Parts: sequence; structure tokens; C-alpha cells
Amino acid sequence: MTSSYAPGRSAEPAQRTTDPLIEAVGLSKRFGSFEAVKAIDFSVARGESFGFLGPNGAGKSSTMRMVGAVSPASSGRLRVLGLDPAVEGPAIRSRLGVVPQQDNLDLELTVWENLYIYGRYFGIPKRTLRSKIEELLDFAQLSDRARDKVEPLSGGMKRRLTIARSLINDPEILLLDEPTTGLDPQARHVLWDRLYRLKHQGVTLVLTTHYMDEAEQLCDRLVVMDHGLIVAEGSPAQLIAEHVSREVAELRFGIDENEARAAQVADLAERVEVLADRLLLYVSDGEAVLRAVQERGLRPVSGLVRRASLEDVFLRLTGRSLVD
Amino acid sequence: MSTEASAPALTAGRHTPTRHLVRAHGGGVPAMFGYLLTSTRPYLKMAALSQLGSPVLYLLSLGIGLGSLVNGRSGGQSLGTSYLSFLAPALIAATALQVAVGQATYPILFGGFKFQRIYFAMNATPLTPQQIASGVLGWIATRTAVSATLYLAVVACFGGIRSVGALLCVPIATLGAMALAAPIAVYSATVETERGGFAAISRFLVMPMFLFSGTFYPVSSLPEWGRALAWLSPLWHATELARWASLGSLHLRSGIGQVGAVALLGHLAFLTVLTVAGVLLTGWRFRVRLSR
Repeated sequence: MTSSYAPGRSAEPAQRTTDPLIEAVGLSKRFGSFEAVKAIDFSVARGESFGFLGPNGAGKSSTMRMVGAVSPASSGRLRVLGLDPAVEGPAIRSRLGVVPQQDNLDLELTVWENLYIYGRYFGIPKRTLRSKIEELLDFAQLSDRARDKVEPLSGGMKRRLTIARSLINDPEILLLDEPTTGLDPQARHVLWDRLYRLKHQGVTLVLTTHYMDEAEQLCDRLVVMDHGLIVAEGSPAQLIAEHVSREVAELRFGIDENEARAAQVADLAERVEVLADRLLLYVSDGEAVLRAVQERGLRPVSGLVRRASLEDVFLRLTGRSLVD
Repeated sequence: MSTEASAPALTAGRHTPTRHLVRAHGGGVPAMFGYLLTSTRPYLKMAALSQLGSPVLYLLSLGIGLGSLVNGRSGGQSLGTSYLSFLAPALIAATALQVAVGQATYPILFGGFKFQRIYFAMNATPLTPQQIASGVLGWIATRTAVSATLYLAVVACFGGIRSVGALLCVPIATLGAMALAAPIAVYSATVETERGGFAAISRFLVMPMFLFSGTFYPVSSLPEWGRALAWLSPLWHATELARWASLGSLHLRSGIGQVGAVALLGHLAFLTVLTVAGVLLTGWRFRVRLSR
């Protein structure tokens, strides 16, 4: 896949400042008596890819809307690009790119018109927009659909258009709320490829996801959120090293038996998780454990060994799966 | 703090830099008008056709058809002018009202907030909820004024204009229409789920207003309660003003088109208060809904 949208790094070496691009201290969001975000602290540095990982309802989107300077914080301190969203919302938004959870393209307009109109909201002059749009269409691999209406486009195309749209103002931070939810695997990979390019061009990415593979692919650092709280923070590798073992042995004994067998293999692992359909044994050497299980005369329907993932971290921290 | 340094860069390849061109306060209401104009373009032919076709039908059937009945009997005498010239200013006001209310219902709730969610897209840019609300209402007023102008042109073709003052029908009809459409926009920006509210507005608010606001006959022909109700109808106030503008200078013996200075101010004040309240409350509801 080639693209002529190639911002590349600026000729000047990036001047690293110690000021974070986003800084939140004790940030909360309440809707009536419901507290969606509970006094969380985090900061994002320039050029970083930062993720919020968590299940639906964890408070990820509420956090993103506060960072996006559209939803005021209920309490706590938030600075985006050094500015206070409560007083300088428009100025902050003029420097952000936003990919919302639900596409909000104008379905009755063409692909080109959607980009043009959006650029005008930022006050970008018409002439500049014309060449900018061409580059963005190229980047989003939508050049041949420029004059088509948005409505009949596939989900993946619409998503790419939404991302292209979010880049119209050369944003300093790109906020992506569940960028690939609902897309088929191929469309997700195309999208990841595009985001990966942006990351390498130095765009600061902030994204939410409930997919571990997405977090592992795109995030330098992430926080795990649950029930409005941050329960862990680190790089994907750090989180795995800190919270779970290196490998996981998965045993399936059949729905009724899993619970009962757990006791019989508990001593073989650092920790055992009993799920409805399988047992997860957290171990350093999975193959050895599978052999040990066989030697005890236990015959699981299936047994496999895999590397521990963020899913396991999440399970460990919250006692629940990410995608239910 | 350096902002350009690690920018997705402004040098390599075919990159067109836009960052330095972005305005901290965005494109504002004019950019919204650009959008609304673009989104209307596909419907322009259809809209123009219906906005010229409907007055032709109304004026043919009521102005000419019913008019020949009215003019031929004592009606013409008591009105002191042709039925067509009596009816036309009121029809302009009534049609403007329908156009504005139509724009202030489904497009706001469905296109703006619920399904396409375009207001949320706008709000992610420097545009503020207040600007979005102003743009939407300003656009409704503009479209309404265009419809009223087209209507007036058709009336002129039918020979229904008797004075230059009739030109004032356009701003009057627009104000009258916004006096109802702006408060309805508050409702459209507030309801979460549409459960027939819009149909009810059209059936139980707009339609009765059309029938009982003195469009087809002076409200003085109605019993006491009818006149009291008419007083509450923005359309009656707009109709009175439109007739004053079109026929007032003719000093008809029937008194039609005659509005005293106090009444004139009263009509204007009533419509202005409703419009201003509607505009302010719409801005507030947009802010609440977009900043959740």
C-alpha cells in the first residue's frame, strides 16, 4: 500500500518539552448521581501513542469527550495543549482531530464534500482545502470514491473517511474512540496500517479500545480502566510482565467439569482462572504443565499453550473479560 | 511550548500544511451556512418546484376559484378588495410558517442529534454549540424568507398585489414563522425519542393555526373564543401585519389592513419575544445536549 500523503518528520529535530500534551489530575465526570469517571490521573506526552483499555461502560468515552473539549469535567484539573477546556474549548478543538465512536459523516453528501465542509468549520481557506483533500483521499485510499455519496460506502471506508476528516487541520493530537469496533478483520488491518503511519509521522494518538490486539498494535503506553477508575498503567509488555505470567495453558474439560478439575490442577500454576468454557493456567512453561496434566491421568477435551496477553491482564485486574 | 516541531510535518512530499491556517475560532456561522447550502443543493430543484407549485395551486383554487364566489356576492363588497388580494398576504405568512416548522423538527432531531449526528461532528471542531444553533436557526429563517419571496412573486403573477408595501410580507412572514419555529426547535433539540410529537405539532398546532388565524376570513367572523385563540397564534399576528403591509395604504372602507400604532407594536412585540426566547433557549438546549 502506497500513499503520497507523506508528512514525514519535520526537518527540525523534534524539540521535546517536558510539558505533557494532556494532563489530568483527579478528573471526574458525573451524570446525575452516576459517576462515569472517578478522579483519574494520567498524562500524555507529545508523539506518544496512548490508550484507554477497558470494557464498555468503563468511562473511556466520557474521558475522551472531556479531553476533546466538548464535555466539561465535573471536577478535577484537565489541561489539553496547556489550555483549560472549560475556557478555551474552541482553541483546543482547532488543534485536535477527533474520530468519534459512531461515525457522524453526512451520508447525503459526497466523500469530497464531507471533507470540504469539515475543513471550512476550521476556517481553512477554500483553495488550500482542495489540495489537502486530494492528499487525504489518497491517504485514506478513497480517491476513486471522491464524488460518491457516503451512504453506500462500506463500514471500513466510512471509518477511513472519518479518520481522513479528522486530519484536515493537521491536528497535534488525534483522538480515536474505538476506531475499529464493528469492522471486519481485513478492514481493521487496513485501518491499523493507516494509524501506524500517522504514529510514525509523529502524530500523538490517544485511543480507546476494548480489543487487546488493537492496544498491543498501536499503544506505546496504556491505562486499563474499569468502572470509571484506572486500575493499571504501563506499556503492553510491562503490564503483562507485572500482572500475569509469561504463558497461559488453556484447558477445556467440558462445561460441567471445568470447575471441578480446577482444584486438581491448581498446584501446577501460579494462578488458575475458571471461565465458563475453559480453565486458564498462568504458568512460565506451558508445555511442561500440559504434560503434567496428562501424567495425572486428566484428559481435557483440548489443551493449548499461548503467550499471555492484555486480556489476561484485564481478567486478573477486574475478574472479568473485556468483551462479553 | 513548541507546536510546530513534531507536527505531522510541513515539509516532505505533497503535504499541504493547514495547521497554520486553522482559525482558533473556526469558520463560525458562515461555514455552517456553506454546509447547509451544500446539503440543500441535491434537493434544490424539487424544493423550488414545490415552493412555486404550491402557491400556484392555492391561488388558483382559493384565490381564483373560491374568490370568484366571494367577489361575486356580497363578500367583495364587505372586503372592499378582491378576495385574492385579501388572501395572498395571509397565505404567504401561513406557508412560511409551514416551511420553517418543517425545518425545525425532523432535520434537527434526526439529522442533527440522533442518526447522522452531524451537530456532534460540528461540535468537535472550533464551532460552539451556540454557533451551531445560530447557524441552524439562521438557515431556517433564510430558507423561509426565500420561500416567502417566491410566493410573493407568484402572487404578483396572479395580479394579487395592490401596493409596494406588499414587499414587507417577506420579513413579516419570516418573523411570524420563526416565532413558532424557534420554540419548536427547542423541543426538537430536547426530545430524546420521537413518539409522534412532530406529527402532533403539524396536526394540532400548525393546521388549526392555518384554519383559525384569519387566513381565509377575518377573525372578527369568529365567536369570542375564536378571537381569543387567534390572539395566541403567531400566525394571526403575522397575518394582521402582512395585511397591514399589503393593504393598509389603500385605506379600505372595510377596515381590512388597518392596524393602529399600538396594535402594530403589539403584534411585532409578540412575535419578537417568541422568536428571541426560542433562539436563546435553542442555544441553551444545543449546549446541554452536545456537552454531555
